[in-house]
Amino acid sequence: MNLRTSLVKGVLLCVLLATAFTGGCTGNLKEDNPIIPIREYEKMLLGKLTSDYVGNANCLKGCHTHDKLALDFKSSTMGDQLEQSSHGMQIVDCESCHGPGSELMDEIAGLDVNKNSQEIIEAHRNNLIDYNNLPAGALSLICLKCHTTNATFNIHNWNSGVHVFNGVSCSNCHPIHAGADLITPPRAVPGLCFSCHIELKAQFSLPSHHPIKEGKMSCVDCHEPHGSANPKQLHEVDEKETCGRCHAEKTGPFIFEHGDVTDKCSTCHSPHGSINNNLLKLREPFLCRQCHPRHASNDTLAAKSMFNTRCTDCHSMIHGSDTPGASTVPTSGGALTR
Amino acid sequence: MKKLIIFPAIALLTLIGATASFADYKDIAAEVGTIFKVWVGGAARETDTTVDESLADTQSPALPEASGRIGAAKAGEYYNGESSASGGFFFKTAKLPQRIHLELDYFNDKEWYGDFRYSFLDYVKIRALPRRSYHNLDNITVYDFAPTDSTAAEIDIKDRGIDDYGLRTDIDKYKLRFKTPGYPFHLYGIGETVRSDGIRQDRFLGGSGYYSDPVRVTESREVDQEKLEYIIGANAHLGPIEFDVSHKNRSFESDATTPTYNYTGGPSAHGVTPELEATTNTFKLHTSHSGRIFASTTFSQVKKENEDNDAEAKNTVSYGEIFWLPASYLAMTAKLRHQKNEAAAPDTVTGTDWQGNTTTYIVNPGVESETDIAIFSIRYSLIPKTNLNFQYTKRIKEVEEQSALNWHTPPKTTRDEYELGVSNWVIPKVRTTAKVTHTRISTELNPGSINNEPNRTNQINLGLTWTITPRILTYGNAYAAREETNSNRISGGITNANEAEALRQRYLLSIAFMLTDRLTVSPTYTYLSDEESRDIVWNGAVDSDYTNKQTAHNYALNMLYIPTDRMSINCSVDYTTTDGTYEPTSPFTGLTGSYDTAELARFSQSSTEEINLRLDTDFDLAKGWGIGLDLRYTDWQDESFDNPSNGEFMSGLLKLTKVM
Repeated sequence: MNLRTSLVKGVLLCVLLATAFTGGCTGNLKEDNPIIPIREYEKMLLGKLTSDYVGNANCLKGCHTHDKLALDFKSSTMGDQLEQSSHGMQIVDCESCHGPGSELMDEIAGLDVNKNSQEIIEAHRNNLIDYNNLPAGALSLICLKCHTTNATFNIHNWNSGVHVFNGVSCSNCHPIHAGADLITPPRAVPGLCFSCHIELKAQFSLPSHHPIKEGKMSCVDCHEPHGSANPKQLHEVDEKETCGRCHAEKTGPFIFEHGDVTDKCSTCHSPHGSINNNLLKLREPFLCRQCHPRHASNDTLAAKSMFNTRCTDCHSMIHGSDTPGASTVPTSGGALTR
Repeated sequence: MKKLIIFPAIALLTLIGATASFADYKDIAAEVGTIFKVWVGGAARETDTTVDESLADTQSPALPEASGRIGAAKAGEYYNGESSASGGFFFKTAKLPQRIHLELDYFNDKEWYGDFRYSFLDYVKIRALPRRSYHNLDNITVYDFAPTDSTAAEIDIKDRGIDDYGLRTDIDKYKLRFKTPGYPFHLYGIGETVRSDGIRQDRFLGGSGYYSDPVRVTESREVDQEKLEYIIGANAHLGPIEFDVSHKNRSFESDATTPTYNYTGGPSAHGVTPELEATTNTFKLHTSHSGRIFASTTFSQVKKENEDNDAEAKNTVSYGEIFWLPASYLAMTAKLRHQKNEAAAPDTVTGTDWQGNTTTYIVNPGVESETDIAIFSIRYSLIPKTNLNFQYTKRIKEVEEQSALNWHTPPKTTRDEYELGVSNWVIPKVRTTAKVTHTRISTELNPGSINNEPNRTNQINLGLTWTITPRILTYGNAYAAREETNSNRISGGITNANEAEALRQRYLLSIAFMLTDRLTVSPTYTYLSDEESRDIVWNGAVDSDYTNKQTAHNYALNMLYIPTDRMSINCSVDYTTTDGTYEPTSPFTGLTGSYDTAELARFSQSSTEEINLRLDTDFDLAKGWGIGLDLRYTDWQDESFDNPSNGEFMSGLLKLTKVM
């Protein structure tokens, strides 16, 4: 087993290093600069290498002076960097994201915004990066070209994540022009997630649920939406560690464990909601009966009253215990009754 | 009766909102760079709970202890019925070099929320996220099925009538990050505390003679526990790759008094909560996200110790992924994950049995296993606006030989999963998605080992988003999964109880009607169903094809009405019903004794009904002043056999706001 572990680690490291040195990573990374110079990258996304940069004046002081788009963006961190007094931070301007605008300027020159609005909109679509038709992965690269090099290490697993492969890009959750920062407030996260995962919203209306709809918890308390090395995009290495962030008393390790069932909490619990108490998938005793036969006993009334009701009334330490059961039988210490 | 009041109240307020008009509205959008808003108010809350015993009265034969059932006095899971003064503020400014975000909503000492952030350029970032919540817990009735039978288990209810079981939970999170100017090297720290405080029900096995004289006991138990977690880490560039290294420490301890119980041999502690300690070391590397090829790797090791004894556990995870974008219409990724779980515990421990004798008990350490997962995904834009996804996942779990024998687990489980998905938005204003998944699991089995995963699963998931007109948006989703099991499902070497089938269904339809520019109404209906048919074993005999069905219906109606630019009215109604039933097969309805399995099936019956109403209105008055009203009403009915209760919860929060 150790040989296999070492082999896996070796393969992973070799793949990474080979990718790093052959993947086109050029430029000086020891500065706040992206790997490919921003301007070349934007031209590539635009698909018009002949287009050139004309500056913000044509956008904000030309047409977008008073509209809400400009006001919101101006209040954002990136918008603040439009000012030359950016205190050494990178300058981000309209063309950083929308691409070089010289060809747009040429096309709309002389048009009247009141009379030719459709032509102007069409010209924007044809001469700036077309967000509506850009695949999600490519759309995210517009943000990643800067953020890969600065302060956003939670995107460690973004590119291969389930969101990229299902057409979700950064701007689906972080509206770029919307305000002073792009952090999604925790209480707004569920609404954002439910806009796609709408079927989960009903599960949180079941009688037993985590307090998502009450605003006391958020989806990102358990899941990492930017991608994760762990199953189900969990924050921690497995379900036990993730649930243990709040339910630490159930994680152990204990002297007497419940097999490896407790490594995977979802064997018994439905984390998003259940009609049964304690998020159980089924009610007791039938949940336990799925793996365990009934206690060996005759089928008397006494036996039924003991063994056919709620198993955890007696096996109360079902997640694990340090105290052996009180039986006199040495092999029955793991009964999880004390 | 209250419903008759609430619904007209909503209608009346809506009407008032539609006709109200205020002058001197100030457009705060022009000052969006800095926002300062305060609110004060008060919340009046009332809870009215009763215990419903109707089930016992109407079903025959009534259980002997039915009249003693107390259930739980509650009106749902999360609410706090204390009336309290409330208040909060919101301050946000984003003028470089500093950014400040201060937010607090205080409703009462058990329910409040804060989000405090400060940053100086990108050199320093500080954030604190405190949260308080209250969780109502049940007082579940323990039944004596045979009170006249002296050989049957007795019950001892010490917490009869206690109806305020619940936990206040404090979750506080802190983040601090430093960055060197002009160079992306970061040092960071993250802290998290989770404290739980309150009382809960404790049900356990008592009796002077333990198995020989069993008594099922229920009593109150204090909860006072805290988890403390901190992470320190650093990340930076190392030429063409970036790294992140972090260390996490988690500790848990309980200050609550450990309960004891008097067996024949004397008092003995039960439900001991140990002190736990865990550390996690993680190392991550990744290449730039902006290239066509991207790779990342993660090594993580978790070490856990039980401070009260010698139990230990270790999880080691190695993970790598490579992403390749050869063309804008084609993306591929391959992932490899290896997890090794180790466990250690002493071979034996000594304890006092019910007779008071010191007994040496044999210990089975936790299961040791290695799991390998390989995932290959491809995304292909077949034609413009149509994406085709395919994913193959292979998972192999191998349990260490002795662990497999001790715990009756399969020594090797192999899982193959094939997933094919299509998303399409070729038709204007219509987006469709479809995904089918086929999973096969094969197991190598030792005599007596148990398989708790279905051998075959087929799933289908269909989605439709259709903008019928610019004012009508429809969303529909249908999900169904069939699971089949045919090998070693029950422990103890029972080999003739292998069959199991499950059908899980989820259907949803939601329509958003934008009736006017200022009024949107969105009704949603969801149906959830889990139906399982499987063999179970009663006293050595197989009960074939018993079925357990759980269903839920959820009806939701949301309305957003903006009668004027200064007023918004948000109204929602949510109605949920659930049912759970168990149906044994006929051969098991005539066994010895008065209570056969059909009778016991009643124990699994559950039926709940919940109505939630919310009306949240905000009125902008002159010169930045505003008022708001947040009304909530919950009607809860639980007819579950072991926990019947009814309850109503009402809350009214009146807010006075000022934007400066």
